[in-house]
Amino acid sequence: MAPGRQFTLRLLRKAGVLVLLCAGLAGCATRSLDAARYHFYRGMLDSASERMVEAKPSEKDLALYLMERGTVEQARGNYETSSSDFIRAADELERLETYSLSKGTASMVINDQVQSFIGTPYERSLLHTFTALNHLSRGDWDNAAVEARRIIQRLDPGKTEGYPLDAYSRYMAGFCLEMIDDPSNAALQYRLANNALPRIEINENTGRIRPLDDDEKKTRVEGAPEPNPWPEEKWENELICFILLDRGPGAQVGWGPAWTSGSAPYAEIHADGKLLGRSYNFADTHDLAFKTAEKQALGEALKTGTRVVLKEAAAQAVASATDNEAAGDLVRLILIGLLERPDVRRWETLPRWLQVARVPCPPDLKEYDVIVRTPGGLQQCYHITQPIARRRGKYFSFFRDLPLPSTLPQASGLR
Amino acid sequence: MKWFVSLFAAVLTVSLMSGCAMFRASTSDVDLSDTSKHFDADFDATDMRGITESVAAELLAGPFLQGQTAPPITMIAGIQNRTSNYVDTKNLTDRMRTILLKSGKMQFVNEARREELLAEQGYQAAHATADTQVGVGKQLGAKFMITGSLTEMRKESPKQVRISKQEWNYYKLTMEVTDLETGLIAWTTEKEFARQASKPLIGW
Repeated sequence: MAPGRQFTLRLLRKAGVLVLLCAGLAGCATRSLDAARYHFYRGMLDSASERMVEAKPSEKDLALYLMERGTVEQARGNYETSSSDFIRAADELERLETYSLSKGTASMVINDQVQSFIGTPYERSLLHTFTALNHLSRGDWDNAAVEARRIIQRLDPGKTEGYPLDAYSRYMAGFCLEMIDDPSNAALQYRLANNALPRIEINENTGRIRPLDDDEKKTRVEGAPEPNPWPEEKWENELICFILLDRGPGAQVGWGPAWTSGSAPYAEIHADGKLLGRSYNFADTHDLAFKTAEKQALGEALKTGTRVVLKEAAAQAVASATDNEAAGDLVRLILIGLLERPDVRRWETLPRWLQVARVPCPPDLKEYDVIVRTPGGLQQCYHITQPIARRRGKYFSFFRDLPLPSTLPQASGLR
Repeated sequence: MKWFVSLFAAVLTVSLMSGCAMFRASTSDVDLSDTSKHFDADFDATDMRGITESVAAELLAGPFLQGQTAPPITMIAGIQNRTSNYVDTKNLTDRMRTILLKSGKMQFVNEARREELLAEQGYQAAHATADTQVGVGKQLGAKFMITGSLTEMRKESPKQVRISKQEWNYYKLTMEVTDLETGLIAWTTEKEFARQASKPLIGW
């Protein structure tokens, strides 16, 4: 074999080793992040937090890492730390609005995962919504309103470009503005949330929620007590509870063309042994992810097709230059077999069902109970003591239905 | 020979790049009086300095203080942040209070440290000698309250074929002095400014 070809083959071997090494190193960070998510969904929040510390993300995955870590810290009740992570993630996403030519070019010859994680429009608006949850939990109404304004900017039709939007973030923006005594802007957000929800009605002046009759019949579990009707009288005290249920879409979730959202569970709110009311569904992150994937499908298919053609051309060029089919196959194996993979990065610690319960409550509310009822008739009870923040007669709280670790079998596989 | 040439080229490149300021970490003092330097259209430290100085100067020169026989005792209730940025509005009021206090034309109660103040008084009452104890119940009540709000309006260039994003931000600071006895607004002012910035949509 000619010395030039030998040199080319040696170079190819080295490049192959380098690529495998890089892929292995990237895999280490992903593995820690996956382990953290695994522990999180088993309710082992301290372990999840420890795995997050081990994760050490690359620059391109920094925003995603901060979003995941912020969610773990939020579930642990570390609202300030969580806010700090979420705000950093939002700053990072804003920085990434400038398209990187170098990473964009690299993505045309390697795969989309070499590009920085920029999230989908619904993930970006929920990032502000979850930051607002932290501020509200600490009774920091002014900073919650800062996030409300950021949500409104994110949900601007000029920015969303036909992507699906969640009414949950709209309602959150309205609620944050209501809490700083900005009723006209709060009403506007409630009205927009109401317009996006065909199955429930939101009173734009009070933010109260009631189901439209048909929906109530469809979703109510047989045997469950009737929720309170929507009273017109003034409520002396009310609890506004943001409910986060189940698990959002993970990397492996796929949707068939006939996929539908299905029936949502709901949460009943009890205090002092009395049923105060129930939650209503505002968004389904599976549905948001599905509609987003649908919108992006054509663009991604075009890009992947172009990339595969380019990789095949490169393999053929190497085979021709070295006069060696094996060298071409090696390039094909590396570029298409090993490196060609879809970008499935998602904010995986997001819940699936995003709901709101707005119910009258007793004065000096210190604790309450949540009963989550699934359409299958299952129910799970939780006793909530924090976060509960109050401003005048309005109590804010939120709840996430993470499992209690003691009720689960020991974890295996992922450390 | 080839490897020697490659090594030489690499050493030369590294040497040249390390000599270039772009590739070196550096630190230098910044002239705070230079009000023209902004990295983006958001509210920044230069704005904070400029706007507080401007409000304080107007208050000091205005008819409200000229009509007072003695420096009025005042408390600061804070500035409401109504922007989409995390602005430390306490920083605004702290700086304003420093300027006003230094002028000798206003007095301030330390409302932010009231809890610590009461705790220290309680400690002294229990543990300090009689001749060094501070008297209890002798604090002076404020006659005026300073409040304000910082608002913002943002506009971005619409979606179109472009290589940079234009951003236009307008800020307005409204300050009020309220008479605590009558509830009347004794003095008010507004300071506003707008800034335009562009951000590249494509970068390296």
